[in-house]
Amino acid sequence: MKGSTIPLKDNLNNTIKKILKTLLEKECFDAILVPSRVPSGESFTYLLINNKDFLESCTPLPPIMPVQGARALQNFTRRGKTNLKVLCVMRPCEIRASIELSKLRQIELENISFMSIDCPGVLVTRDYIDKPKESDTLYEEVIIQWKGEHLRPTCNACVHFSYKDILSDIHIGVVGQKNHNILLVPLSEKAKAVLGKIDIQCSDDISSWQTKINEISQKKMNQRNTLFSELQGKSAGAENLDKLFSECINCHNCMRVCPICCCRQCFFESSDEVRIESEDYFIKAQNKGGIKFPTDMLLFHLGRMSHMSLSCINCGICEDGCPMDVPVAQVFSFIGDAVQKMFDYVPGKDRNEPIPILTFKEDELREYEDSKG
Amino acid sequence: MKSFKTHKSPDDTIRDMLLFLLENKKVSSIFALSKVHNNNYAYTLITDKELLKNITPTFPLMPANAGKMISRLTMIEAVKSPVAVVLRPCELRALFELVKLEQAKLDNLLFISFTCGGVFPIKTKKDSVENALKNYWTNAKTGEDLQELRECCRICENFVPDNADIILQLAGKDIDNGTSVLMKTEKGAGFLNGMSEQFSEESLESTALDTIGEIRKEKKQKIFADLKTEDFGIEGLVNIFGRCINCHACSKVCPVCYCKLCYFESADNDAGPSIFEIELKKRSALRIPADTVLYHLGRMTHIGFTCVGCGMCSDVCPTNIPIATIFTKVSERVQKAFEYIPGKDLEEKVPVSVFEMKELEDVED
Repeated sequence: MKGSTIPLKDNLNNTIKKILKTLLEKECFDAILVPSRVPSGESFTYLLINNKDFLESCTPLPPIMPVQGARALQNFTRRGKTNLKVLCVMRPCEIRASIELSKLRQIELENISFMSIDCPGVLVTRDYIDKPKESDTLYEEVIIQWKGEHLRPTCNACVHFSYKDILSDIHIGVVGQKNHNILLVPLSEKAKAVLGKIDIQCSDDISSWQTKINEISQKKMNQRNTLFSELQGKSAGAENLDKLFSECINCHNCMRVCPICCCRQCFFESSDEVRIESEDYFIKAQNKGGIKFPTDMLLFHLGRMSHMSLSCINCGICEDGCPMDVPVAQVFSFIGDAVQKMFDYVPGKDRNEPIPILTFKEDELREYEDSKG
Repeated sequence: MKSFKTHKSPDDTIRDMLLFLLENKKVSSIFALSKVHNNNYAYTLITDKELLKNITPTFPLMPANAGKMISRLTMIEAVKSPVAVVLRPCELRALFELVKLEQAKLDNLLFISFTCGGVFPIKTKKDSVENALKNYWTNAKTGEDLQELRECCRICENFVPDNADIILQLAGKDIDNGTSVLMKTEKGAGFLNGMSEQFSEESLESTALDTIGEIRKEKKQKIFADLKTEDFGIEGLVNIFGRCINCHACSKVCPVCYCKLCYFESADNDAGPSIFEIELKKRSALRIPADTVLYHLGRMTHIGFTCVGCGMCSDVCPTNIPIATIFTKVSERVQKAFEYIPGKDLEEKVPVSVFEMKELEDVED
């Protein structure tokens, strides 16, 4: 693998912005889907842009992730493929979620290309909105130092923050470079052709970047192991789970912001669950002396977990969307990791590998079959 | 009104009443806020009198709008045996609206409520609320503004539960001097008939309540003026709702936003890629997900009549949009235009559900 070193122009976002402008100008793509600041300034949204002047407001690596990029792409292509050649500038976990959604037939990837950026993680949305200016300064530091005190907890435990296991086309490396220069790395044949078209020759050595990525990976893996061993103790058994989720008010916002949870109407909001005869509630109440309202709080989380944990890409947006600060993303990434290992499945890694629950294998999970006789 | 006075705290007074009702089989179960395990608070449906020790009906938190919860309980059929329901005025009003919208049934429900001092935002740490209780009740007595409360509560003028069967006077009263209970309806008096209390005649202390109403009204005028919705225009709307992430949490916790599948989440609202392509050609840049402003305006036209100003929506917004304040302000004007007070009168239909030949002529021209 080779790359192309691009000198940093005042800051990372402006440097990438310039490349995006060139890509549109040279008609490498018909449109670019990229995060941009909202008019009031205190948040970001995805914009689909076909005119380079409109790219001025874009922020390719925003400090927060208010909407998961895969959700935006789903919004755009759920009904079928677009005829436009579109470049989506996203974080690695957003690209991984997009791949999972394409397997779930929620995204049509034809004509879609991805540009990914080494991701130091994101700040908590609510914190950013409260103090956008201070947070911007803070995030400048985060991009340079890769320090994580203010980041989403799952970002600190993320081992898919760069190019490995990501189905991106053009990757932008930001660590391990002299003078904070950036590194353009084509990850697909398509990308090589595109970069050739804008006269970017990829002949630079990328080993210093790769070394740095490996170093950070190791650090993140350690943080991940620490987090998971803490969660191991906190989440075992019904009682502990109940405690972890005790603040939950059943608003289902974790599900609604989750890119993988793609059902239009969740079972837990459907007639089957909502239209229950009053007698059934009383029977439940009598059995235990009393029940909480709304009911089935833990069942909702366990149900959601069994539905999406194989594809959970640990983006952490569920925790950001939770009005009660339930550590939902941490628990889900811990469980998801275990489930994914069990099926030897890495979500978002391979476009052609089906999600394990969508396939049937005669010889599977035998060890569980016999474990309890 | 028939009434009695206790020397106990409001929660203990309610507990005594409920115990009497349960032991004498006047009700089969209780619906009230309880302190549940893990130091948390939740609405509960209780049949075992032992669990009454956990109820905390006046604890100033609203983890869900109880009106919505009773709608869950009674959506298909009315409860078959009497249930005593303890809830706040705005929750009762929401429930009345839901009955009109055919989402709940009132039969066999006995409503116990109180003059309401408001609640803290749901995110407030439970021990902070517990520590702030003394201050909370002092301010509830005088009506003095407490900044830590939900903004909607600080400006709420409908804090007297007109439709409850039994009313405790809390806001406007010094609860350290005991609790007074008024039987607003004959039904309420009938249920409490036989309690070993000293019954007398008493009415709501209107002077104290009026004072609180005045303070809140003044606060409301200030907060509403500061919103400057009149100057919004499309730019203002984009500024305030531009950071909305389309999660629709506000609609999910709203008691009167009762559709199971919102139009904005339905297949009808899915634009195909060709629509995006056409729009992109016209505008050069498109926000995705789109329609955040439209969503809020749509929701506003749907619930403006029935919004009871409970404030749940603001509490759950992940991007801190002051939705409840905006919605109560707009709703107040809509409700005035139709001379409609949500949750006041069961017989009065929601204005959008009736047709009148002569209506809104002033808007026509």
